[in-house]
Amino acid sequence: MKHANLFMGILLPILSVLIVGNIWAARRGKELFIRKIPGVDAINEAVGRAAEMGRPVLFSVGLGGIDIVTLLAFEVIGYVTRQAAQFRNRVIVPVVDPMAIPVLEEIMRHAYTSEGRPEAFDPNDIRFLSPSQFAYAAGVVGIMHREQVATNFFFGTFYAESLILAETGQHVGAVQIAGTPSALQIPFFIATCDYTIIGEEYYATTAYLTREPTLLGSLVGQDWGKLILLLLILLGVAWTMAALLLHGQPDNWLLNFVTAGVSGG
Amino acid sequence: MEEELTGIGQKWLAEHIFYPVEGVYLYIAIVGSLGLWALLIAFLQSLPPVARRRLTVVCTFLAGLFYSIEFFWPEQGNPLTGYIVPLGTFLRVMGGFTVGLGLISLCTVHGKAIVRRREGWINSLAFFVAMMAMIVAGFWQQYWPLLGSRFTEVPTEPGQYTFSQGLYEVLFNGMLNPLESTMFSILAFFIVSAAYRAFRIKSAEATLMMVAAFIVMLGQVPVGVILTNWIPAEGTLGFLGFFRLERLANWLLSGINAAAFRGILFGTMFGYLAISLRTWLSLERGAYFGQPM
Repeated sequence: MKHANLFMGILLPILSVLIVGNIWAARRGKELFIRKIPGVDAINEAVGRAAEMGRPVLFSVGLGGIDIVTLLAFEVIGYVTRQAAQFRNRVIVPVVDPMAIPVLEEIMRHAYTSEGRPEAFDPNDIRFLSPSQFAYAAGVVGIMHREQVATNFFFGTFYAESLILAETGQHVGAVQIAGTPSALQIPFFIATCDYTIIGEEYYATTAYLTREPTLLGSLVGQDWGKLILLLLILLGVAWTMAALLLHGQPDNWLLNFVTAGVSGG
Repeated sequence: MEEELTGIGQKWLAEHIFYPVEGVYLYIAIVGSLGLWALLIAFLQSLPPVARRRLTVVCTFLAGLFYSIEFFWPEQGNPLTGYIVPLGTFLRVMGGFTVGLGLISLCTVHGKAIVRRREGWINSLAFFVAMMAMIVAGFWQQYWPLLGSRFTEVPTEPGQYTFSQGLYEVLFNGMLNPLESTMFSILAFFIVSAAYRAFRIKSAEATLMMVAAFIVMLGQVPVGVILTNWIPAEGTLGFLGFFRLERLANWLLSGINAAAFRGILFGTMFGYLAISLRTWLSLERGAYFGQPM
């Protein structure tokens, strides 16, 4: 779908208003609850373990360019770097997109400086490896073995290289925390990592770490949106069932309304 | 194929400002563009942080507004769709400038490793040799394909190469591609070791996963079909056919698995929508967005 059909033209603004409305309510001081996410709780523990072992932390942001998913990973890098900076530990960040280098440099320099350890920051720890998928994977695997990393973070967009990275991490005995919205890679991370942050939990990570009202309000808005989708699914099921019972054949009016203008599967 | 200029004012821009130039005007245009770019960067650098942040907020909002209106406006007569391709090209060109940054990063890390004779410095040397070889071969076959070749013109027959083209073929298709395929093939072994770890029966969830995986794997291969083909699939006991391995596997994949998968996707898409809105309206918090976590 290149342009919104009538259904999307109605649904998307409603969902957007719900999210922004809840952000606004949260900013006005409304108390909000967020459930426990064990993977995010384990971040501090994993960084502390690396410091105890005197070995660096590796943070891979996957193959995504500078997009929403990667920007969120950058936020987590900022947090992890601050934790590592408290122990003067290194965080190695291999990247596929050279555009990420100046952004990461600024974020990590700021993190080390804010913890009073500006001298501990080494710009060479942000390493551009290759824009090619498996060359990047080979590079990260090499870093894991050479540096004997104690902790691996995989946050971002991953493809087939996810298993290569996470299995190598297992072999070097690293504690591993992965977070990705790439649904197809989630099983691989679950099989190989100690903690996996899946699907929407990925987008809740920063809210969980900061308890910032703006971010918490946005999470509540997302939940309302999901409730609306659930009701729409139930409506679709009821509509089809009713048509089958009354006319003996399905009525496609609702389906056509929702999918009008949508091409492909 | 000529691009259709359907965007509002796009035709005028193409005729009066962004028209193709040749000869000396082309070089003037390139130098002028680079000069303007440098001036813009200098201007942005001279701005105080607060003003720079405000400018970022305004630019982000305008960009988000453009793409939103373009999406919600009906396709017929949409005045903004024509600008989608040129804007995408603009972003790609901006991204192209950063390739140099990547090269600097690589050369710094590996250069230091060689100078300080760090462990494995020979690998860093291999990096420089490989990089130079690819750069030389790439430019050679692109710009001087006949240099050093026995051919007097570029061969058109399949399997015939000038020396530079052959060199490039060996380096790219003969070395780089097989190396990438090798990395990909390692996955087969990693899948086995990961599956072994995942399927060890140490909890109720792992047991469930083990049983499901067993059914799905058997349901995909002929031996699985043979094992349960004695179960009646028709007649009065036809309902028992559901328990044939291939049908059970299909139900697990297209029923339970698909439902869970879609549930995750719904959550992910809502998260994406929320963070896109926060970024667009500059409500996001964090190091990248000017307010440290």
